[in-house]
Amino acid sequence: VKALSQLRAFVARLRFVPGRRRLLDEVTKELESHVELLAARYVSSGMAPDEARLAARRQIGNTTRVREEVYTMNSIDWLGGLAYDVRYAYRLLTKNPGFSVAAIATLALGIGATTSIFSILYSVLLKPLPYKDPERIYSAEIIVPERREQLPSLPASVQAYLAWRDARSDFSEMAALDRGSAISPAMPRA
Amino acid sequence: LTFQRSFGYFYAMAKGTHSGKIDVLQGTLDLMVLTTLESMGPLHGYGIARRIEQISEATLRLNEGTVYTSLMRLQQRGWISATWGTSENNRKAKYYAITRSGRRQLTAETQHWERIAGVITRLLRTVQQS
Repeated sequence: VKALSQLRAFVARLRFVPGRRRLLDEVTKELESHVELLAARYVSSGMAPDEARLAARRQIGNTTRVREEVYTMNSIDWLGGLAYDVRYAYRLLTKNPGFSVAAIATLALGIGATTSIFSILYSVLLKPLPYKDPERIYSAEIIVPERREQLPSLPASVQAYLAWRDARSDFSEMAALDRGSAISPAMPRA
Repeated sequence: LTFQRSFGYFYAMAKGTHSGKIDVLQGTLDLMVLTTLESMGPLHGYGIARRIEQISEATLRLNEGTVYTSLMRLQQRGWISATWGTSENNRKAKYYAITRSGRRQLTAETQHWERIAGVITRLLRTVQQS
């Protein structure tokens, strides 16, 4: 509950961040007119103007401290720090353009290459096939148990395909394809 | 108990170096400002300071500038709202008014304060008796 109320207080504070300079100006004005009003009061009770002003200043205390306090209250420390970091980085980059261009080009190439390789990899290996129930699609191969050491699997021959197609199997349909070029149409069984 | 002290504690807390056990002290000025706005209606900072001075019959030494820190803090919590208006002597002044959640907070804070004051009074009484 404490964390929640702290979070809420933080969010509430955020509303004041954009207007913090204006709020600071306003507090400055308020403090000034506060001093004037106090001084006027002291004068009306018989003090000399200079003396009254001093007394008023004493009564109000350290206004710089108040202004600082109000300003920090309305700012977020890391946000200011971030702005400084960004400005610093910008200055360094413009100071040494050769290095900057090299660094940015390296980053751009690296990111570009990674992205393109990943998009190929994704479409080839990871993306599910654009069919209904892709997990029900299998690729059939021939495995000769005795020769498995040398040849893990063999592509199906045309004869094997035709035999499988005509035989009863657990597959509802069967189609053959030649390495990327031609696809023989799926033949619905009977 | 001075306001200077509670102000210092708040400062430490805002920097995250200090926590716990100080809520009562920290809330003292805020509580007075809230009560003032509740009983007097919308006021500017100067008016609040005069009212506190009047009520306390000059027994409190208050750095009146800290009223504005308190006002900012209360605004952030949504307990008071601020609008620019014109004061009695035709000056522009920021007027502060208590909000509904501010009233709720005031009720809660008042109870809290009374409980703590009660405990301390009882404690001091037992010390005197023994």
